[in-house]
Amino acid sequence: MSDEKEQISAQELEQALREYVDRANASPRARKTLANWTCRIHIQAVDVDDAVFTYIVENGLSQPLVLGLENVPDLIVRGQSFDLAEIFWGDANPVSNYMQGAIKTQGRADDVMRLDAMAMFIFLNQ
Amino acid sequence: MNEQQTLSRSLSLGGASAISTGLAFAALNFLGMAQMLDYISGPFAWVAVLAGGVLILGVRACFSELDGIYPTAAGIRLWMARAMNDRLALIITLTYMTAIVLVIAADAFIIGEAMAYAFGNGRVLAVVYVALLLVLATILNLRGIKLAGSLEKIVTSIVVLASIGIGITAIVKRGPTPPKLIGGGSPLQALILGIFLYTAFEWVTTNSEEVVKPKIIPRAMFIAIFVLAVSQSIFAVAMGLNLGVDGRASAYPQLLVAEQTMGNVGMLLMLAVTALTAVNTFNGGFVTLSRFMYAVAREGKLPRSLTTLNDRAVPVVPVILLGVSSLVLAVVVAITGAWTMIVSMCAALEMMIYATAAFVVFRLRKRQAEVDRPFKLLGGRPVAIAIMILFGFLAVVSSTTVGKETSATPLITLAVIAGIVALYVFLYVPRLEKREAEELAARRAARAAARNA
Repeated sequence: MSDEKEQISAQELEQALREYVDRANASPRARKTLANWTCRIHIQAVDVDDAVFTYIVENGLSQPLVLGLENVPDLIVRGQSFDLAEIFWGDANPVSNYMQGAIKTQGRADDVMRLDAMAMFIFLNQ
Repeated sequence: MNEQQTLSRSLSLGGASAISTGLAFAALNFLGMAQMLDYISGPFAWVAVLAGGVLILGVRACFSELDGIYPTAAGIRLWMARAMNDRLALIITLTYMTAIVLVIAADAFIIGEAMAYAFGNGRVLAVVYVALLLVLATILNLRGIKLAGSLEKIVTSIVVLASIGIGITAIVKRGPTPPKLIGGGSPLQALILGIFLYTAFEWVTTNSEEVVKPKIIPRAMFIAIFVLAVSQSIFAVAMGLNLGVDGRASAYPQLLVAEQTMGNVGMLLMLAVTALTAVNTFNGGFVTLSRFMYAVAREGKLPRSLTTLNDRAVPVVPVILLGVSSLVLAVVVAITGAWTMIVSMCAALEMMIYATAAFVVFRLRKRQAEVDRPFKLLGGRPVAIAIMILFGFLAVVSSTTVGKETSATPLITLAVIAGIVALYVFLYVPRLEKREAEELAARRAARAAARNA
């Protein structure tokens, strides 16, 4: 379904993720509501080489992005680079992409939901 | 893409089997067994349960194939949208979700009535118990408290083992009863109710992202069907041997079976088992439906107010809506005693979704023939179409029967619900989609401008 989508480079996706981490930490609502949430997330773009990252949330606080896949994850998020970048830019919401099959996840539904909640708090200021 | 990596917290075969079994083994099943015994004599009740199980294996094969292609909690939305018009898929999915409200309401009603019977209270207190149970379930869900996987396994094991134990005791104590052939009923109705005893086993597919091996979910469904077949066959025979028409017409026939053979202790034990079945139902039902409503609202197809989260990241409005609608329905059922209607409507909705799943397998075998399928329905498209026709027919029969009476009330009620959902989907969803598209375009334009600056 994403055949004609633009390809995002690994560097651009990394930049989007780093900005996302900063925004997450700057959102009081995200930090408060997700204060009990700790999750190690592997993010993998399937159409770009070396676009794999480890994003760790510890008690609601996003840790600095790690390049590559580090340790055993709680959640894996896979998708085309554009679909992933749109999520971290705030152009698309994770659940919407997920419901349409644009991104695929492995892990507990609770973690997917909290990842989506974080995006909602950051970009929709809920 | 079906390659699976290791996860820190993955669902085991045992855990998935417990979820599948626990979701299917609702308190409402005991009423289903009692109704089934109107159509088949006690010693032969196991025939209907096993026949239902055999047909359910076909349904399990359909869900296994679809789950293999879309191993995701959003599977039902995804595979339906791929096989048919998205509007129609949304109407079917939202109508089907009514079944969860019905099951939660029915379980609350059954436990309320059972508690009132066990403690010698009247109808009014039964309604109070129902209300308290649902308020408690709503509060626990709003606080984000749910049953941990290991506890779910324990609860399901207790329910299954206690049902088998009490069932065998009741059969042995009752002694041999001259078997009769099917008396005064219809084998078709007995079969429908036999199938009803397995419904919701497929909800475990919403956990498919939590397993590390794709084969776990199909195997878990198979184990669940086996466990449900054995435990419910035994209890159905026990009920058939011990209860007459009046006992089976009550809202707590399982308590009467236990009381008749094990006295007050047995009755209280069965009350505890009934309550435990509801723990699984409430746990699974509230989480599944509220998260689904949240996700569809985030997708832009339900009002945005449904995405409001509390400080525990729980979607507040869907949980409250579910609690209130279940409470209203349970109280109506408690006052009118129309629980046989609930059985008919649940059975019809489940048969409908099983027919739909078979249709989707049929369509996707052609539309997505090249897609890798870790599990395939034996016999392919002809078998899929046969399953669709069979369950479509059973849906019509179950929606036009209430107890032993022929009645169009369940069919009309479901048609009204589907009609309201269709109006919503055709009149209101386009507006939501337009707003979402405009907001997305604005965000993309702003992002593009920022990137070019």
